[in-house]
Amino acid sequence: MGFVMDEREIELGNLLAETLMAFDKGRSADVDRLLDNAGDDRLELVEMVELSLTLRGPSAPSSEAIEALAITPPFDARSWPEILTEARHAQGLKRPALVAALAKHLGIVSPDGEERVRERYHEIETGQLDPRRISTAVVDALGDILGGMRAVLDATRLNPIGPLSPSISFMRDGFDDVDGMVLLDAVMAPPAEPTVDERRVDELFGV
Amino acid sequence: MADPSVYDADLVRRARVAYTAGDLRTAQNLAAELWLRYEKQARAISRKRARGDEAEEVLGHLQLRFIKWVYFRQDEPRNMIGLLNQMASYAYGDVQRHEASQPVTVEEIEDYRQPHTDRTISTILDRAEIDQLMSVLSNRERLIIERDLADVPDVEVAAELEIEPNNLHQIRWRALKRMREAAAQQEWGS
Repeated sequence: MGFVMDEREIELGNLLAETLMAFDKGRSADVDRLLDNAGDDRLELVEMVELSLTLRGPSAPSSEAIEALAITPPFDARSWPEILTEARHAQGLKRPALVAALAKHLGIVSPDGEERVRERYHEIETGQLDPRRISTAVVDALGDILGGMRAVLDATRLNPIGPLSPSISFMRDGFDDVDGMVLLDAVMAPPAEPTVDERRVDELFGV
Repeated sequence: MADPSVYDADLVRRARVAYTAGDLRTAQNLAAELWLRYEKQARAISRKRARGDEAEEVLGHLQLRFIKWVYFRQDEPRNMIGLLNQMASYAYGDVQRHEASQPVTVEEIEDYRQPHTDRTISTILDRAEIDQLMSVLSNRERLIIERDLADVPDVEVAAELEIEPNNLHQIRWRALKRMREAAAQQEWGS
């Protein structure tokens, strides 16, 4: 049976071979350049790459590669309350100091605003506030204050916040610097109209 | 060739058991192994959704969704490539939301419960199904794909067939195209 030469097929076939080689060597920039070289046939080339890789089957990673990847932020399986509490303790930070630094980072200077930061942070660290809803500004600020934790906090926002550990469950009733009766009074009191800064803080925390 | 889906299912099951037991280090190692098994495919899949830097962002969100799925979901894995394709469309949405400063959510992960019904090449599960697909190829095409699967260098395959590497690449391209078309048209697999 005769074989019909087709310049475009040869070109795409060569690009496929080169792209697979770039994939094998982990050269992402080369992969992207080669895919773009296919012009209008880029998507078809990507699909052929996917098909080739699918036919080859899964890789067999080394234990060293597995262990190195497993400790990166995306694989962190801890909840935010665990991460924040551990990181705060590791930094030697008492909660009032962290709250003051957080308010400063967020540009909150009024006493009512700072108090609302304290309340919202308390809710996060005790697992009462969903980290998915808080703003990037708060994640950035916490990441800086807690010493380069930005990537970890960002990667773990979707982790479930419960069930909480016994120590954190205990702290749900109040930190050691918070009077439980004061909290109870606050719950019993009719809600006051929030101030401008309180509303701003609530917005930053996704409340 | 052993069915990779059996090995994958075992990794997922053990990761979830470890997570539930609070053995996070083991859970993280198992999830990392599963991801590395399919990282190349995930890189390709992310490039079906976006280009360049944006494709890398899609890959990041895809990885995050994949890991959360391993740790926190209950459904059994059947086909990792199909699952990654499904997640990639949501990962692209994550990137769009991130760029718009909207919170990233996992509500759509509920959709992963739906079985992957798309009869495309991404539903390949094992060697038997690859063999079934290869039945549409000529002898020469089949040999080229077989040698590729056996990791034989192109220059050696070209020499064996007494053709130029360029021709080898063209034939392989054509063979893969036929396999893909066959996968889309035929009622193969289960």
